[in-house]
Amino acid sequence: MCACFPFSFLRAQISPGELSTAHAALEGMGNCTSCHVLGKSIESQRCLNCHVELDRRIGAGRGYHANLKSQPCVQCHKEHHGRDFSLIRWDEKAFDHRSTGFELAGKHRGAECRKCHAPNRIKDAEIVRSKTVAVAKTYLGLERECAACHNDPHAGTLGSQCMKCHGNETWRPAPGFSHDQTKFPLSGKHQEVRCELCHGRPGVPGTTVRYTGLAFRACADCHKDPHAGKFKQPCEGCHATVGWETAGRKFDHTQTRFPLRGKHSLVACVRCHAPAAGPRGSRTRFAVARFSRCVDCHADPHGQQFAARRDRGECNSCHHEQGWKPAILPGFNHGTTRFPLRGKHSSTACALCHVPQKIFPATVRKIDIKLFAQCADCHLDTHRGQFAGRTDGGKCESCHRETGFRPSIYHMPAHTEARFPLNGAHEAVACDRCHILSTVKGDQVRLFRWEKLPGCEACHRDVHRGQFTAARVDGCVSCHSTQAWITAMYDHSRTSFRLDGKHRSVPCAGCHLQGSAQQGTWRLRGTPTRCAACHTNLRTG
Amino acid sequence: MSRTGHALFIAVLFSLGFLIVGGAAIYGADYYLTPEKERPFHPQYDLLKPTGLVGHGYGIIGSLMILVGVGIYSSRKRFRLFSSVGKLKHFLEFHIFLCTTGPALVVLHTTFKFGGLVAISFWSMVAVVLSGVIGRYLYIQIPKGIQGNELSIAELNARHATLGDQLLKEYGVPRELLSQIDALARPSRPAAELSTMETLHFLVLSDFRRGRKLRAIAGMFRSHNFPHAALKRFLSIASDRLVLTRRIALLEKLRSLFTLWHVIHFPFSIIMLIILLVHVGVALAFGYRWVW
Repeated sequence: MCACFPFSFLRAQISPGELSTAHAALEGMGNCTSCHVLGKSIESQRCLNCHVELDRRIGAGRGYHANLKSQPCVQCHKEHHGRDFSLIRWDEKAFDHRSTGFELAGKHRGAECRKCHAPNRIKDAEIVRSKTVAVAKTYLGLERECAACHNDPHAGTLGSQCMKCHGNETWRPAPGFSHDQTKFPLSGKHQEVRCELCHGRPGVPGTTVRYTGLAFRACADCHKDPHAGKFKQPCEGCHATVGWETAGRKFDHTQTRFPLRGKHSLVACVRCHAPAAGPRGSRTRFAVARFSRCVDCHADPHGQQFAARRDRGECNSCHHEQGWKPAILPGFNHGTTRFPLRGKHSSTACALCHVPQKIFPATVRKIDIKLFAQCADCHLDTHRGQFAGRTDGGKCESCHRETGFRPSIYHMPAHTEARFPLNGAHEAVACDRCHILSTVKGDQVRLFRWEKLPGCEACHRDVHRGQFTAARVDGCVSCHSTQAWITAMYDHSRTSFRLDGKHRSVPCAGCHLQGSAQQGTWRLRGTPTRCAACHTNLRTG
Repeated sequence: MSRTGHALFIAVLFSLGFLIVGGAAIYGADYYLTPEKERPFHPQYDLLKPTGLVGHGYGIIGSLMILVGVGIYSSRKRFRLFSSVGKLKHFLEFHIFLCTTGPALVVLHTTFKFGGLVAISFWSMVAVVLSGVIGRYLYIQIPKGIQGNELSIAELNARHATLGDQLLKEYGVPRELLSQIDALARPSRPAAELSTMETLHFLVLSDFRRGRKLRAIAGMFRSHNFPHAALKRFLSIASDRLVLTRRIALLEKLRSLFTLWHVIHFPFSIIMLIILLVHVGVALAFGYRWVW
């Protein structure tokens, strides 16, 4: 029976099948124990005795197989299935790269496997030399550092920790890089400058990209001095990175002969330091010829009205740098003028008098700053000249004060000296009962002056209905007075009917009133005198 | 064992074998139909591979069945101590059950992958099984008595004559018809001139053509206007006579064939067993212990 089989065929007859091409050299009964441990099946260490590079990586805890320490090799790599059986079979697309200890993040995720796992990227010399590793097919031998696959555009000047600045999504921009962490933090307009402007542009022939060794301490390391070295202090003494033109914000004007105070500090530099005809950086750009007086820069809105003053109309006598208006108070004392402001004049806006107006308050006639001696120079005569005939010429101040037109200071004692003295009951009458609105010179004003003083009948009704008008020259006062309507001044003995006896106690209305007290008629003349006119004859009826 | 009991016995063995092998085959059908290179990545690989929990079990159980089957039949047959234990026929039937089911499980254990030294054992096993099938066929061609002993030619002729008499007397079959019936059963040439293959060919062919022969005999029956109700009984006797006539004609040849069968069946089984032991030894040496 055995003669039927060549010995070489018998050689492998206890083998359950041919070994793969990779292990073909181990074919034969004498090599079984290269992998098999008698009585113990297959131990992974037998595999690693040949695959030393894997053994080394597993020992170092690196790589995919380091995560599979508890799993025997044969679980994935099965043998005795013939020469052309693939010992390594895996789905590249479904493979979780995290199990290798190198997670594919960012752009790494979409890269083809062989783009990284290429023979030229294998840095491990042992793997390259290994007889058990097919260099063209292996996935071993790569390092995790960026430089293992990527060229260093910084030429090693910034170390090998690329991930400190760069990310996996894209090389530029570098999310982890902050210029603040360098010796030259970027501020102001420096932040807008493209990197290559200072560091050089990669890929451009003749240029070197440099991130270290650049001069940056002084502004002049990068910038030309527009002042051509005229100023000894460093640039940052006046200028800031927010912009060259913002020098004013840092420039200390107090160091000059014209410290900026008040609103001067808000003025743009160029308003005063207008570009001169001279070259840039020349002193003429910043030198101002005249600045000691306000009028050196500001026009005089008063038109030199105050030139005659003792201070020759210096603006700062009344005004200050906090603002043109209001003028300095209490710095400006109107009391020092020929028209001290008192009462309501003191709260009047300056402009009302001093600035030509088109519209005036109702009480103001006109304003002529040159005329101010009398009230009428500015104010309207509310009385329309009714008091012009007075001895004082109808001066307003006779009755009114600057504290206010009303109330007037005209009082009752003064009224006793008027053409119509107020006495008796007239004292209790409200002013406007007599001084009614009337038309004076075409305007409706209170009437204070009558051409002819009115008689009693001007205000009172003649209850006698003119019975005494013709007979009595002195009118009502013959019998009446302001003290009382009915006075004891009437002497009845002057009439043809003498009052005596009980007639003396009879009220006047008992004989003289016909009708009611309100609407009756006082009959005084022609009153019957016979007894029968008033008395009834008890005998005859 | 009564006839019913025996029928039940056979039915149980058959069913058991069918279920075991059929069930195992169906369970692993997808795996076995997978190309060999893809099997390591099949989900059932770890179970059904030759060293897997199930596959290894198939091999061990199948081998044990073969060993038991060979052992008990050989012991019953060869050792006088067991000669009175049951009928040899029943032991043979049990042997057949174990030694067909067992090899089937062994085939599943191999996952239809044959190679190496153990392949010799495997193909030896196949030869033993096939020879067993042939031997069983030859065995039943040799008439036996109730005790299972072979009948002599005289006994066979006596039985042949008895059947002839039955046909002559019960049905009045003319002798020339009887001769025609006998002619259907005999080979075209004398048995001594037939080679082994021709003998086997004739045997198998005659079994396949028995139906045709019986139809021919039925035609003869009708042509002689025998009562139709007697046809079934007539055909039964005629069939027995056909078989017996053939067996008598080929008796010597069958005996020589059966002797030849022993040359194959027994030695190959020895080879199978020896290499099986080597195979098991190697497996144990390499640490494949199944469940222990």
